Amino acid sequence: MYKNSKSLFLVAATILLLTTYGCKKGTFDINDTNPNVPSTVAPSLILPSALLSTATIAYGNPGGGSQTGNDLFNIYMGYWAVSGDYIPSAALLTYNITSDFGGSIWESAYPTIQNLKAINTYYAGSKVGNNYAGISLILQAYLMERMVNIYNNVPYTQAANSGTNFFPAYDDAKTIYTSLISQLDSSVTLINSATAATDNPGSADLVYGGKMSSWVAFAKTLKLKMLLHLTQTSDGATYIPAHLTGAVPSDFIGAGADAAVSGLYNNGAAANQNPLWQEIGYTTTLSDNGNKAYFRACSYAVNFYLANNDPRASLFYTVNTSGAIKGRAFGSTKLEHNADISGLGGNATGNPQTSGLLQSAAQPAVLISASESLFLQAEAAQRGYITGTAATLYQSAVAESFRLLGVSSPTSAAATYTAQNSDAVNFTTSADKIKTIITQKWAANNTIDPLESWNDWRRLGYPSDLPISIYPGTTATHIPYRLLYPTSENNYNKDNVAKQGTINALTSKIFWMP
Amino acid sequence: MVMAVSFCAASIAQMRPITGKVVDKEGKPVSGASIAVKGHQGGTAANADGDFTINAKTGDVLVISSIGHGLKQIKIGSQSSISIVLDNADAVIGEVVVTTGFGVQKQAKEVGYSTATVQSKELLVARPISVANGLTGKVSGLQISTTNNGLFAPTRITLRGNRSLTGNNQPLLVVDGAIFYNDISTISPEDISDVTVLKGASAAAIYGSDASNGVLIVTTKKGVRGKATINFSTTAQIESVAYLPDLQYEYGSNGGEKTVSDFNDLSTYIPYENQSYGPKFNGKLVPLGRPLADGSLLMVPYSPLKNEKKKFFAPALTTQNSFSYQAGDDNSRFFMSLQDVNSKSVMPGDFGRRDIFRVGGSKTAGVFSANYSVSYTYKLKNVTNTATVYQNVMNTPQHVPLTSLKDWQNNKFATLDGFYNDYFDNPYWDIDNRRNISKDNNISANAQFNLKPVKWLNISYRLALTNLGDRYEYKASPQTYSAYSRSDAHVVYSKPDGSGLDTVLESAKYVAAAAGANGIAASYYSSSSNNFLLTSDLSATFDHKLSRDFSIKAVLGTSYDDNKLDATFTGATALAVPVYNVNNVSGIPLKGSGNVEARKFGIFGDATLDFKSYAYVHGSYRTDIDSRFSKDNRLIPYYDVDASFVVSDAFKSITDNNILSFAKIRVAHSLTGNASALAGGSAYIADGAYKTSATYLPSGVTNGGYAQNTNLGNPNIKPEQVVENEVGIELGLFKNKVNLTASIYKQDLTDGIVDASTATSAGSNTALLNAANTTNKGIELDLKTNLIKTKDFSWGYNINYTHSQNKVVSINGDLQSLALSGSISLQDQYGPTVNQNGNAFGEKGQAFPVIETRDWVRDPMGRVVVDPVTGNPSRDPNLKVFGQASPTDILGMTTSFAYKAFTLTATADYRGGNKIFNSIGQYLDFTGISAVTASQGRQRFVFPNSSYSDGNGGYIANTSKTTDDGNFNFWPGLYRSVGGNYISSAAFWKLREISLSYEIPKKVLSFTKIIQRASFSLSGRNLVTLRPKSNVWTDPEFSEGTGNDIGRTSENQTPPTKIYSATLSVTL
Repeated sequence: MYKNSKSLFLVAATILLLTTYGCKKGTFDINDTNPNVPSTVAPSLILPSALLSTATIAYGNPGGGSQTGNDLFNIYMGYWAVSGDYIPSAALLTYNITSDFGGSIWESAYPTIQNLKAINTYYAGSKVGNNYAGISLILQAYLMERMVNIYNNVPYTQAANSGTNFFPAYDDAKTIYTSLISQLDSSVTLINSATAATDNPGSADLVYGGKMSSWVAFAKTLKLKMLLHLTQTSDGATYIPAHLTGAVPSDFIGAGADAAVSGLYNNGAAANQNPLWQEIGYTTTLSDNGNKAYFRACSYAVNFYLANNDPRASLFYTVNTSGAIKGRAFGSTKLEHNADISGLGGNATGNPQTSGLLQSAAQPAVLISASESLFLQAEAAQRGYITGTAATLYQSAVAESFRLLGVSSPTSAAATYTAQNSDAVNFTTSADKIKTIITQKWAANNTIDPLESWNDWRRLGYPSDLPISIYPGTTATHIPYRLLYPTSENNYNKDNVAKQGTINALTSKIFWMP
Repeated sequence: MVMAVSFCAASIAQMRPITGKVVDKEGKPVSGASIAVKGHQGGTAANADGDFTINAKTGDVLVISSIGHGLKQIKIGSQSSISIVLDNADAVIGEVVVTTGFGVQKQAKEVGYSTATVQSKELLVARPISVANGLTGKVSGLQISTTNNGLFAPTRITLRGNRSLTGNNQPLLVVDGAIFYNDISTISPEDISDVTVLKGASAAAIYGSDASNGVLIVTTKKGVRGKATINFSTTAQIESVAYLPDLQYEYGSNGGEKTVSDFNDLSTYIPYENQSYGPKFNGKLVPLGRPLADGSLLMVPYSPLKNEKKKFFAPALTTQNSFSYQAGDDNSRFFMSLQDVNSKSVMPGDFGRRDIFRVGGSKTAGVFSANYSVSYTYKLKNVTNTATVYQNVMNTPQHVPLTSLKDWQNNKFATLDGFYNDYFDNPYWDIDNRRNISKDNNISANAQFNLKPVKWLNISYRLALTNLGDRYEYKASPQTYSAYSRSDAHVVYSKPDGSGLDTVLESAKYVAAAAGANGIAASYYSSSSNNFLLTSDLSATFDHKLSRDFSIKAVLGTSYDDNKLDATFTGATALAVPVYNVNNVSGIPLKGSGNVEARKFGIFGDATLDFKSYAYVHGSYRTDIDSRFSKDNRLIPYYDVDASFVVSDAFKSITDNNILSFAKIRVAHSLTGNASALAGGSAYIADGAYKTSATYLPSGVTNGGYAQNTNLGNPNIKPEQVVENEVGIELGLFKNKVNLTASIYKQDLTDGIVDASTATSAGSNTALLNAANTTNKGIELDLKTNLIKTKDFSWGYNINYTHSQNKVVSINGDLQSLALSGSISLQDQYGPTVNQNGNAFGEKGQAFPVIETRDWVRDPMGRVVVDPVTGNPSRDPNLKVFGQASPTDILGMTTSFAYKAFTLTATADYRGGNKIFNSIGQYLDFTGISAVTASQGRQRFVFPNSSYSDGNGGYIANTSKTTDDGNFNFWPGLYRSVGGNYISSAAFWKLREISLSYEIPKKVLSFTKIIQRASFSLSGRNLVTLRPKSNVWTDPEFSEGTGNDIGRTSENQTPPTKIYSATLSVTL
């Protein structure tokens, strides 16, 4: 009946329309496609934006605020302290982690994965694009690996699904890791079987400019990084070497080959600046950016660099008004003004610099530094998982860190540095070589990859004397183990969050933690 | 029976033809007036000129009645011709004309749903610039809020409150039969003949998929038959600030410079500071600002200047000049008008102009007739950055003689370099150098052709075209500071003990240093949009008497709408040279453009069955083909069924007393739609459905290609559906001296369109879904009285009352809340954002919108919990619902009192039951200019109504634990970080309009020979506003915009104003 009346209506309407208004077929189909934007775009136009947002997630402060992921990791790992010129946030200083902490990391990661998936979807048909598809899989693994290291179980198989399921289930963290490791293997296979230069991303690849062998190294380095996170797991000793069969240092990111997003950063607009520059650097007119004054040097890291005559002290931090590098204890309530406490980023004063953490608004955003890759290789070699000499790899790793920060004559400066008589620097004389590697990795990853420093601390407990907050009322005896699922997830996917049970940021562990 | 027949026979014998003319009070002929001889069957009707002929005899009583006019009875004497003047004001309830959907005119008694008509005279009482202001407070169920007091202040209009969470809740505006897509403020109130308010969805069902919010039907003047008249009126209007937020007048400047850990013994006065956390005023001469390059130093008395801020916002003059010409003969009518409004605002330098030109008329030729209206509106607004200037002025320390620093070009203490304030530039500089200029050019043309081949049929075709062209430009001059200002310099202080001056070397003037050596370049932004709208409809109206008892009135029709919007913008933050054209942009300009279109075709039918003119059943039906929906969702039927029963006509005996003279009951049921949640640039345009597509990364920033849109569209979206049930009663009492109308309604919205937030793990931030259900119910009462009416004296009053309550039943399954607006961020002192919200939310199980923000941590008794050691309260990390944003109760009262040539009219209204978030509060507390920051003498204090934990889960009333600071370390930081401190009751009483008019006697005018009428009136608007004590900020009627996120005033709104006007109106 309804069908009939509907078709009757349609006939009547058509007659009326034709007679009265001269309407044609399709008159009312004008809103089927958007006249203003394309409905599909080629991967060469998706990849750059996906890379930029990946760098922002890895580096900057997506979404703003002082309690987002990367800032938190820098604080917890003893690199940054909170200025004495501001009314303190007790929650931040007492590790009273709430679901508001770090939410923007989560909320930026999945939409970026959605973008990356659009690349794979584009090639799902007959089109051939092994290079793009491979890069996309690598970057998805890069983002998911971070998510697991921060949150343990997270949505994975049902995540970022183009609106087909608004309530993605959570996957087991270990299963995700296993899956990502094989995803990285497949990406290498895809890239190696790419037909020709026809699908080479070229300038759309803001990391390597289309040099696909470098992406293979990236994939292998990321895989190595993930495998090393498993060293303390019960089956790590068998699982890790099984996945590193035949691996040699030349497989991985080597000296001088930082994997970094570059090329599109500039000082033309705030949004164009390198994400770290945007976070703790300067505005386009060279006044202080958002958190420049709120976060200051932490006395723990400052004291480490100074005690070891480390030339990077003045490259990670600025000098105070008396010309000294001085940190502030995390959680201190002492009246210390910013003029007395060193700032972040090195001695750059806004103009392009040749050294320091902050060199210019256009500086590359490092996803995996050569130094980090070499520290990973050093540890793997030391543990016998790959061939290569741990001492050489270690030395090279330190030198690469010096180079990245702009220490002059980095190789010889690093040699002088590591020759000092201290287990913190001297690999050769160190009683605990893994500890020395991780300590120096920590020293190198200041603000560059604070999450990996947190990973290492949670995995191995180094640096072992990492201080906790001295803010009154702090009851924690160690820094947090993880973050809580963000408010948005608790609001909009609460049934799946509930299935994860009670989570405590100070006691609930990531699966690979001992 | 026998008696009657014989009487009848006798009367026939003496019958003679009587000719007459029926005119209204203004002398206009009343065409169609019915004339009958009392006690006799049948009768006649007056023709278009009001002329009639009827057979009657001496002693008969003629009963003359007409829709829209009263009933008149006249005894026939010996005359053979008679002139009858029908009184407009005597209109009998039930007989006034109501213009319903698609222009169908009905007597009120026929209508089964709630309506109200506001006449031109009532609209013009206080000579408003916008029609909306003239309607405020006059009709139950109609809520009109002026969202701010800026130039051509925008209004938000709702009928029966809010139904849709995210879609449009404002009624359809229909002008001369066609949907009018433009703002009501583009129509001159003087051009309006009347406004009919169709309150419910039932009345609007015939408009289909955009019909759930009721309709305002505006009928413009089309001219009258008779001698041509020319009307000229001029109004001068003075607007002045009514009140400012509560401020303190005790303490001068300090903003935490010369840092000390304890601010309670703060004694240092900082001469260049904008925060007022300094020492008490003492009347001594102090330096203001830094010494200038030439060494000169401005010295001012350290005492508060109480009127300085009000002086800044000086009274502004607006003039309105209107001219109209109307004429008409047997077959044609003509109306032409011109209005020029020259407006100024209390914000110095803001000005605007609105010119409206309108021509309308009609022509009849046999079975054909046509009518038309064409109007052109030009609206110019030239305003400064209200937010910057208002905040800056409000926060100026009380001893600063701001208004003496107006001449920023010549007064060395007023230049960018010389201005005392280190952190903000001279607001007078802003006013002269930062301008927002918008120009709207709107043309509307509406033509209707009618063919009336037979008496019972009228075929009509209407075409209406509107073109809305908007252009906006922003121009900001470059800002440069001298090298002297940018370098470290000596600052002169008064010594705290008053023993002289101290000179201290300090860092450079903040704004100058921040601007850098090159200064801040000029900037320019421009956008333009063009909205072309076409509506075209064809309808046939039948009016047929089926039998002695039954007659039917029916409309069948089709309607077609096409709506196109094109918009572009370009702009930049920097121009190479200050020549305001995008060609001079340096760097990557901001850019954007878009075009969207929507089309809709509707078929509708509408029929009223009339039984013996006392029982009516009416139904309407419509189906649309709406391009905004997928093919499967286009054909949704919308309908209304309503009935009206005039008890007093059916059972005449119940009026056989002096109490009841008219009684009617009515019921209505309808299903209507609302698709406006899909809106882009215009409420009727498709945009939402597009959202899924990939978007190019924001213009002006790195061209990184495309990203997937994280706001997902939905190809299967359907219109929201509203089912409304309504019953009403209308009573005329005491010979219709008192009329009472009451309605009860309930609206249930299903398939509400929401941009539901999704878990980001799904890859999206929001998704467009048909996933909200709401209910909305209320009662409306209208009491109209005409108590005294004699030749010289009349008095009456109208009261209307509305109680309404809406509720969110569900949002996307078990989703608890939906943010309806972006958040206002409150900040800790200088620190990063703490994500404080003073937000409008839809919250499941509650009214909507509700205002949510954070509160203090409270104990179970509601006392604020303080730390037993520091004495400080702390902020609760969770959002708390503070109350609903829309009023539950609205009361409007109008009274009119006439004595001879004088008429006094007044309208007052009340709204209450709602809360408001006052964003300006946090700015005033930041600088310490607000009264509350001085309420504790800037000393440590026991937080009022507080307690502290006894350590065992209990709480002890706090009488001794003082906060650790009562000055700079407390108010701008901790206190300001709690949004709940800025929420107050939004209740108010307003004396909305008051007007005294004097009609110059005809005798006086007769000397002039040409002036027919002249009147002079004085009126005032918003002269009195009463607010609860808790609202120390601003007018709670304000909101940030005209959207659904009501309940927040922003810091960007000038203070509330009152308006006085004088009008002279002359008719030739």
